[in-house]
Amino acid sequence: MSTDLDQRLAATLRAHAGGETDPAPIVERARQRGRRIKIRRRGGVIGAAVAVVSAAALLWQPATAPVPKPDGILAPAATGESGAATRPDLVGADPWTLHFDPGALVAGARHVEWTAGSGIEDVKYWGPAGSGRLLLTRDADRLDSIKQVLSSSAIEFEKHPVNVRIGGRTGTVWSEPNTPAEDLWFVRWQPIDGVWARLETYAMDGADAADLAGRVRFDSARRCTVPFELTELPAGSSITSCSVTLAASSERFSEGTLVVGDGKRWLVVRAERTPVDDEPVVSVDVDGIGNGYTESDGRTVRDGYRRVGDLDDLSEWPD
Amino acid sequence: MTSGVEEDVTFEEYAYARGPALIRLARLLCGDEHRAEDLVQDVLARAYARWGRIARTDRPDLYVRRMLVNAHHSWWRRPTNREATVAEPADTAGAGDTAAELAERDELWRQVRALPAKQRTVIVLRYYEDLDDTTIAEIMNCATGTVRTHAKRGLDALREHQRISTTGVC
Repeated sequence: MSTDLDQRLAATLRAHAGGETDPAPIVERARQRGRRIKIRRRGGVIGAAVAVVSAAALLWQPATAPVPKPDGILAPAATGESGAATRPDLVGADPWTLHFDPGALVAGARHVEWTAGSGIEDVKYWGPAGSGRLLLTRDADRLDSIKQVLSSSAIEFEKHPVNVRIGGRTGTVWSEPNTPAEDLWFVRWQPIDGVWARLETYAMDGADAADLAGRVRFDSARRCTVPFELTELPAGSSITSCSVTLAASSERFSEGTLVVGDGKRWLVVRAERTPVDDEPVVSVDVDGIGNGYTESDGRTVRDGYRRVGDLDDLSEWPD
Repeated sequence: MTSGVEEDVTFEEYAYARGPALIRLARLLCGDEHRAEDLVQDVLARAYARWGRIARTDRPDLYVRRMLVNAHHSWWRRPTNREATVAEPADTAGAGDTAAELAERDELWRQVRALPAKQRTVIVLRYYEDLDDTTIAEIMNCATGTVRTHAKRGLDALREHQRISTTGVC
């Protein structure tokens, strides 16, 4: 049933959508740029100089691109924590630690999402130098069950893997006919006994993708941290997963998420910067499939939300 | 096999027919006129580069709108775009609109822009594009229940703002 607010929203949005625009200049510029993208891709398929093309991709940026501040997207080093190479048993077990360092992989990214806990460690990165996602887990079935890929479409894999060597270990690489992007490649390997990794990345070919995978280091760790803390949790519950998105700019914090759970139930607390306010908007999701927390639980957690430190100074965020 | 020339024509047909609607949608997602045009241009360029595949999907327009929504969610995080001077789409007043109605719409628009990105996206797709939750879920690549959750939270926040502004509660 249509309400007064529904009607006013529809009218407000119609009024602010603006009038007709001649699409010709935009379409023409899009065609020109689209042609350059196609040429780059075709050049990539034909060419053999993997490293050269990777370097060219790093150099290519739109004329209006910002000067990147590479370190802005890096989560803090986890001092005193071991990487997966020495403590494979900890992979996915700690919501505050990622037991690898994808530094070389994410270099040049404009923003990076770091996630740890609930059995999975996950890094997604986007930028003019390329986009990708790296997953690390001790559970191979869990890894294969994750169908959400970089193209933002859930796909059914039709993989036809080819064996490759990655950092001295055996792995497989394949591209997917089900993804709209022709150059989205997947690399799956076991960097350490008992630990499985999957890299999804736009790359020239399988060798290029495998080369990128080989740049991930497993001898150090990084920390997931957010500029807030939850001082009140439902009885028997703890924080099971942390996620933070950092940007390569002076405004480092984009979004932070903590998942609260007790093994059977979960709720999600998300703090997000909006285009309007510098102070994050906080939301708590308690409804959805697979959880059983009540709204009262959600309110308790929300009431216990405390902002900590400067939003863009990670040294002031909780350890 | 589609030739390059045929692909161009098909892409152009699509882009000219749907470009203005994409720009209007982008204005509402971004809340910024110039950024919206840059966003649409960026998305159309990438659509052009893979048009052969997009055209073979069941609903190319749904796919491009998904690209637009995803690009927007990434876009606003980029430092230069967040710091850009905002050129808000002006309210296109109708002949019968009173000053009070215009002011009310401006206030509601400000509240919509202050919503978290995903809540704002659901509100725009539902109340401007007039899409059902299933289609919105396809565009946002999430469950229908998640769409409803975003919508409920967005509407609750807007109602709360309305209540406060009506009653004067601070």
